[in-house]
Amino acid sequence: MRSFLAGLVVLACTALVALATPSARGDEAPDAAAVAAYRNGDLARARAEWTALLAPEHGLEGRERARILYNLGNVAFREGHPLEAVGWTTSSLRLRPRDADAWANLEHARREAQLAPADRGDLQATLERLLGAFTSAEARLLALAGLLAWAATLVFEALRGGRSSRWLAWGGALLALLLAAPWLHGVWTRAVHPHVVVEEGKALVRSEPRVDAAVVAEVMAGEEVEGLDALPAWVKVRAPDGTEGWVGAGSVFALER
Amino acid sequence: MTKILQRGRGLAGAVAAIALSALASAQRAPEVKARFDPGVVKLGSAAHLFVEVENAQTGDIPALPQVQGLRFGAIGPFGTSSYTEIVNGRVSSRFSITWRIPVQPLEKGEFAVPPFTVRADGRDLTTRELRLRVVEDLKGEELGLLEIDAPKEVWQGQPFIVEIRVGFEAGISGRLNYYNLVLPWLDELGGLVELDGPPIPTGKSPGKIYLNSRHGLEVESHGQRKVGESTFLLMRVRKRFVATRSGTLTFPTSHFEFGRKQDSLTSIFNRGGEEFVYYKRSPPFDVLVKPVPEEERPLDWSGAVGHVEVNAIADRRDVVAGDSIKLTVEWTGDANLEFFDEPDPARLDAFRSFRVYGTQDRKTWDRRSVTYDLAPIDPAVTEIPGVPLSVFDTRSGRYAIVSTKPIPIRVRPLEGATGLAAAATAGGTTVDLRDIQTRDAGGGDLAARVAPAGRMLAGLTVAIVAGWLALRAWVRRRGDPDAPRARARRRARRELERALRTARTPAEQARAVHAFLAARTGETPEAWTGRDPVRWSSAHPEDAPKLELNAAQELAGLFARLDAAIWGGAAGGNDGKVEDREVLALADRVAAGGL
Repeated sequence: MRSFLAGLVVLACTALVALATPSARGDEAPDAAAVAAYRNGDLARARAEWTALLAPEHGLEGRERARILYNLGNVAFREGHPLEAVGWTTSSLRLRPRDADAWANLEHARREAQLAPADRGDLQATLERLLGAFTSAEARLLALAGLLAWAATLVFEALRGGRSSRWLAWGGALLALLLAAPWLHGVWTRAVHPHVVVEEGKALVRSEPRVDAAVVAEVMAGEEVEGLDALPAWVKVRAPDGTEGWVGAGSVFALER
Repeated sequence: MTKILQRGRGLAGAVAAIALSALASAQRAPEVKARFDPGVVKLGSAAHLFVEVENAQTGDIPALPQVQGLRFGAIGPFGTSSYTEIVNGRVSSRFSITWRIPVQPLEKGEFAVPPFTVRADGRDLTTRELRLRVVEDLKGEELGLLEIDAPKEVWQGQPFIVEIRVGFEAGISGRLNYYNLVLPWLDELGGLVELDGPPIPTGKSPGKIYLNSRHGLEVESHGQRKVGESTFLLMRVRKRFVATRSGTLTFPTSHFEFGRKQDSLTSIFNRGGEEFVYYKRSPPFDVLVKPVPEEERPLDWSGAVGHVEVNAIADRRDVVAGDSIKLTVEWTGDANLEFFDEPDPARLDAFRSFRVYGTQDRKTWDRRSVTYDLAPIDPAVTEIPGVPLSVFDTRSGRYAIVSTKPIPIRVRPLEGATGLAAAATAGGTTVDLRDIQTRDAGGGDLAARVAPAGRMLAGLTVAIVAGWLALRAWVRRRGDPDAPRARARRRARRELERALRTARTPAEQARAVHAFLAARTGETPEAWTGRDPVRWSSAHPEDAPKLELNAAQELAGLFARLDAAIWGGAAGGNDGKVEDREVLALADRVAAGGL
């Protein structure tokens, strides 16, 4: 029995290592070319190379994809587009929320774009930063760990009964809730198709995708809106106040990249 | 930056500076001033009490004090005036209200009007004590002399000097010991601030005279003057003022009293004799204060008004980069030298190649001297640039820049250094983007690969709750797991092990085994004394804990061995004890069998 369990553990570890090791891809050459172009000041080429790497056929995901998005933020900033840099860096942080470099560059770009800091530093912002410090997958894993711990305490309570085991079960529930908080926060706050406004000053939200349509709302540069629909030159968004309307496609930056 | 305000002669300059600083504040509080015009009146003539409140638009005098010997007329409505005021280069609009109240003296004497309340813009203000001298006859005009020289026109903010000359007929000088200069406008004229004035040359002052019957005023001997057949001995007082607001300043009638009194302050003139007082009057006069023009006013105007000349000297001209040079700039002239803002080289582009370590500021009524502690940081510097000062020149009536001349210097490079300019640049760090990331330092995205989906988590939550409820119900169907009997049953194995460890005889071992079996079956230990496990196993009820036959037989064998040891003569000793391990193994088999 023990040898069977040991075998299972070895098998599981092997599987985890295999899962954790990124598979070799054919994207090293374009990335190296983009880095070289950036170093030489050829920002247009660096942008083109890294943007091409984001195409689905390259299958870049997670941290590697976040790195490319981060680099594109640097390109946009060096090209003199701090608002676009805010968009790229924010999308990078969605995939890698604990990247200190990305946070530093985001705040720098926001400052350059005359926007308020992303982290205001107050209690609410600190809590949001803490809850948002995990990727979606990490948050789900944490929630799973919490659920399993809670399940163990429930089993104990069912088998043993008594006041102490009931307290233990409550403690397990609390632990599960705490560990699930990042996931629940993400579920409740994450827009499905988030966009950030990159228009200087503010973008006008129109009732229909026409330049002569009535303006129903204004969204300020740096604000996040939810994308609802898209046309070649227009994006339908939901403003923070709930108003829905159309903005020019160039006025917003899709954070899902 | 260190600033040193050198004290001038007397407190007047400091008081004026404080007054002007107070004037400079944007939110000024109402301020009341009151004076009699004239300050000396002949019995039977009328005088007026002027009450003026600056920085107020509405006001009221609830009541005037009752003074025996004076009759005040009706207070009447106040007059309003608005004006612009300039203090230290700042221009602001002000309002003032004025009452002119007739006063009728009823008897001669010196009357003190105590302070009274004036209500302005909802605030209660209090005047100073006022004095009015009523005399039977203003005699002696021909024996005295009082001349007041003041400019007809001045610019707002421009200091000016009022020269007051008093004198008396030389023939009566031996009988005089009392001199009093009555200037009712001093300190009581709105928009007029007294400044530190020119000093009296050493050895030219014969002493002090009264000023407004109060304190001593040092005067300057001013020689003699022949008027007709008479010769007058003259004394001179020069006072310096600045008009802080545009408009006309009306100086009311002034008087010079001279005569003989027993209690005179001026002891140097005191020579005894009968008392008498003569009066010499000076008519009222006006000074027109012109506003400093708004047009063409430079943004960096220092607030200086007047004619200014400038000179600059440097204490060293041959230095190593980084060495200190003391540049002393001295402004002279008739401008408000005490009050303009001195230029700050640190804010001038021309001084970009210099570090400014500090300034030392010295102020007197006719001179302003500022010493700048500069250090050239670049060997390429060849001169100390001119220090410009933006002034309003009252002679030309225009704004002008008064600048020092550049002073040539030599700056030698600092040995073994790349240059202080480079060092200064290196020291000025800035915040920039963090560099691109060429390789991800972290490992693969393990979490992304093994994390469950959100729906799975939700389903798992439901499953956990449902499973717990089911398990709980199933367990509870067999009884409360927290009941004493259930807890004793769970504890039985541990208790057995503990009892066997301490058992020293087969009898104690037998009691431990009985206790174990009793805890498992929910009976008392005595119930297992003498019980045949095999028979009990086959005859036990369906709902009772089950004892398997094999275990029952082993248990019976154990009982037999223990009984033999107990009753075979080994009771009370260690002989015949069964191995603890053997007993515990049997207990485990019994429990695993369902008991």
